[in-house]
Amino acid sequence: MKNENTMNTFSEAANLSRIYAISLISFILVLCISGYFFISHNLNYYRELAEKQLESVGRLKARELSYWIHEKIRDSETISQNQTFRENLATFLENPDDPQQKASLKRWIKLLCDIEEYSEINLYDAHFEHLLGYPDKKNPNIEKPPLAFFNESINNPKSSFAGIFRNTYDQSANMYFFVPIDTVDNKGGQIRVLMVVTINPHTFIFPYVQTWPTVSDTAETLLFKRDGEDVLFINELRHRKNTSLNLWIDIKSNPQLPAAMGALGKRGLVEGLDYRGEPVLAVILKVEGTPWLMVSKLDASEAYHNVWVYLWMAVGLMLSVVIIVALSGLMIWNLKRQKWLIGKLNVEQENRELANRILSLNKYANDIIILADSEKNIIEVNNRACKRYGFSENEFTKMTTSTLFADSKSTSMSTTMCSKTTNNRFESVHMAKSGEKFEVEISVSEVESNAKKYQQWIIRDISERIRAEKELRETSEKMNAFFSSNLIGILFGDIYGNIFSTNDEFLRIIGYDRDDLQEHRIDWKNITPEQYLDLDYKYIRMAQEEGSCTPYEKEYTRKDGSRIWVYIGYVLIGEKHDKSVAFILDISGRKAAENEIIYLCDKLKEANSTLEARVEERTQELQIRYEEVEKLNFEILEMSGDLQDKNAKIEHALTQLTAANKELEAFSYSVSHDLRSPLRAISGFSEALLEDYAKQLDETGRDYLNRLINASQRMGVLIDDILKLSRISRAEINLNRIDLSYDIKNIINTLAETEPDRKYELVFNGSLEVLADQSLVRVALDNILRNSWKFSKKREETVITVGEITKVTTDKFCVYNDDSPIPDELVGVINNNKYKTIYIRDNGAGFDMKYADKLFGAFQRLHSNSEFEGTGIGLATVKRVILKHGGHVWADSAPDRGTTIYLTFNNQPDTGDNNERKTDFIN
Amino acid sequence: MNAKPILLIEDNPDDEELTIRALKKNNISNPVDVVRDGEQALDYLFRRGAYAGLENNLPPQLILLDLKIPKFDGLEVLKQIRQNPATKLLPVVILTSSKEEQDIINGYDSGANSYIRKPVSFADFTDAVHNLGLYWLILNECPPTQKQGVV
Repeated sequence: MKNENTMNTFSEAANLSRIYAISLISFILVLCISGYFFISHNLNYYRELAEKQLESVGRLKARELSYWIHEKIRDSETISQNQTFRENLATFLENPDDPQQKASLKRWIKLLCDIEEYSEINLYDAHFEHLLGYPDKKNPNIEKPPLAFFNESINNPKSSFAGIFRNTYDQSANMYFFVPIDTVDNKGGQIRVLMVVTINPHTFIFPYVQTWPTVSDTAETLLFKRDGEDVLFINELRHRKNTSLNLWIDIKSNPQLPAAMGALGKRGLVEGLDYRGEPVLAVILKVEGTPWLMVSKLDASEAYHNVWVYLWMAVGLMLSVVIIVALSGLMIWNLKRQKWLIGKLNVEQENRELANRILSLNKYANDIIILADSEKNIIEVNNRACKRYGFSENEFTKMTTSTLFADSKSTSMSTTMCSKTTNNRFESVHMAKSGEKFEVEISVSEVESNAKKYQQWIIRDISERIRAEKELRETSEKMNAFFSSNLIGILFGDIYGNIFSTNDEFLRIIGYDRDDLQEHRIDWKNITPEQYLDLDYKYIRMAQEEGSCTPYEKEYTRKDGSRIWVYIGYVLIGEKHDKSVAFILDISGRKAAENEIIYLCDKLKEANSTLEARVEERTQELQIRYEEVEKLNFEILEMSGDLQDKNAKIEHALTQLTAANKELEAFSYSVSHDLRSPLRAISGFSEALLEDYAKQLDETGRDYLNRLINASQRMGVLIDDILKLSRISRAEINLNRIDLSYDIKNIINTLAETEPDRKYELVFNGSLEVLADQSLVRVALDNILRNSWKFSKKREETVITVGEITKVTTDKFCVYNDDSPIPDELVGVINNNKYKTIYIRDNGAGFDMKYADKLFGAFQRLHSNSEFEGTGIGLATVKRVILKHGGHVWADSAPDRGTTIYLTFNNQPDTGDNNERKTDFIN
Repeated sequence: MNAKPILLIEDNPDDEELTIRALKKNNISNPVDVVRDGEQALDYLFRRGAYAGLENNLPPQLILLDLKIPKFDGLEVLKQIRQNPATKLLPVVILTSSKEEQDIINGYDSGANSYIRKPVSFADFTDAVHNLGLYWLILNECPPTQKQGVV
């Protein structure tokens, strides 16, 4: 399609360009012809114009000249007829030597010359002897006019114009008029005297001829006369100097010369070449009364100048129009050609693609395609063929199509089939390289390429199709068997009530026959009792949403009016889900059994109701018993009310106690705070006294003041400790797993810094990880370790051992005091996994265990201040801290043998409060 | 020398005497103005009531504030100082009477610049003043002038 289009476009383009070329040529022709006519018309026009101009000017001049000469002749005649002149002349002739007469005549002549602007007047006698003249000449007989005219005029009684000649003596050009005067001489005889009047032609006649009345570069008028075989130009020429009476041009050898034409008798407008050889337009005229001819001429180039201008303009215009038209035509043609070429390119591309597509179609087609020659030799196969048969392309090319068949029978059949020219499509069996046989459908067609015949075999593997068909057949047989088995009712219908087909079982269930069905007398809505329709719609909706419904039970009205219970289920198919395939199971038997059961159940209910009456009786009895119990319960409740009262009282007491505790704490805080104030004053002013007035006091006074200062400072420390203690009571516990060894090291390091020279050793035994509040435990450890440090200051080396006790027996526990074994209760605590027991042992002063019960009380001291200073609050604080953790604390010691402090920490802190109470015993 | 005063807010005359003595002993040339309760302190700072005439006086260089004072307590006074734009940048050193109080001050976001434990020892005072960067404004080596205003 595309191809044709492009071809059309191409031939159209060719046509178009042909039309274009023709129209261009004819356009040019028309232009040329009209140009030709235009030019020739103009040539004529300008020629006429020139002719008119030349003729009018020429005629005018010729006429004027003619008149002028005629007038000059008449003037001279008038002179000759003048009586006075004649008398004077006669007198002179009577006595030519009389000077008086001579002078008188000369005056006359001079007068004439002056009046008439003659250059000369000379009088000659009949023998051409000079008689008299003006102006005077040196040799009047030599300086004579040309003799030829003289002879002619002497015999002519009339005046005549001789023409213009050059003098033989001075070569000047002169016009000569011969005037014969008849008079009488001194002897009384008739005598003719010739008066020759000379006029300088340069004064009037030459300028007149030579001037042109309009502006022109080349126009000129010239006078000439025939002189034998030549023409002689009389006046000076415009374009050549020194020609007056000086230029002869041969008539015969210059026939184109207008003057020559004139000499040969031609008059009027002529075209020719002038004396320069230039082409000219000329008008030839005769000057009447003279021997002259006149030519007024104009160069053809000037005459036709405008024509040439028009011509060039026209030619230029034409050329540019032609060029523009030709160029635009060329451009359009180029565009067309380009378009055509692109079109052609596209077509070629499409063809190539098509070829590729066909090739790939062949190659990758799902069908097997084999190209063989007329001898059945395989030439080419597609990919599918290689895949299906298992031969490579090379192997194929060595095979014939006949070898593909599974057996000779198929081969021969194929031969007959292939010989047919039409409808050679047949089924057969082929064999692959592996020996696998498969059914094929073969279509063979003849193709012709480059005058060679080929066979194209299109082979389709139909083994799958045949298998599928077989399977389908089997399935449908199974379905049919099922459908007609009457095991179950099957129905094809729709949701609007139509039934398209059913099996016999369904018809049996509803009691209709096949005729009813075929005549559309069965509508499932009509045979459904009204109470089941809603149920049906509900399940139809379900099937529409989910594809199928869960089977359900309903009843149909049979043809005889009886009802039958069925179990029905269906799927909906079709685009709108409105076609149904349903199974229907007759469950009337089961329903009957169910009804039987219901009946039996009713019976059972009856029996039950008698039983219930009896139960009611018993229940009432029970109710009485129950009320009695209730009564008892109430009594118990009253008693428990008492108990609650008591609980409330306890709670109240507890609240009061807490309040009292808080008040006490606040009180102790406030007291210790306010105590500090006077103390500050005492110590402060004592110091001031000591600083400012030390000189006024003696040794004892200063000592007193120092004591005052020391005492008040000690009290300050005491108050701080009390505050600390009270703060611990108020502090909230924040439990974490902490390693005590870190804090212990820090505290000992701090203490060691205060006494850098002291020797000490710190020993750790076992794990010291406990569950405790870090800041509180640090306060407790600080107090214990301070004590250890303090009480062992007298030892050579302080040894502090901190460790863990996991198990203990009563016997081995006490290190220092064998007399007072550890109470069993504490052994129980140590051995209990719930607690972790830590001991801190020093090698200090120790104490007597009989004061052990005072050890952890506030302000209790076992050593004098001079021996070991202290406030007696340290261990009270320790106890406070440990109890707050729900742990235990006790000590073991003996004088001079060191002290061990035991601390237990609750590893499960929730039961802390109970333990606190229990372990108070040590106080 | 027209040094800015130090304002001492203290109700205990003993402590007052000891504090002033400590400052004097250590060549503090600034005059020390003393007020005895919270109300007076605020009147002094905001130039009102009995102190209305002091408007043109220089504001204190440093405030030494006791916590336990009548009427408004020290923390309340501090709060007011910090809320008022005119006084909120004044350095305030709190005078504490116990470690307990020190903890209270630390516990609150009180706005105190420093604290000194009573009785005021010169070493403590120097540390506090050092911390405030006021060293050269308050301490100098000149002999003490006897300017001391007790208002």
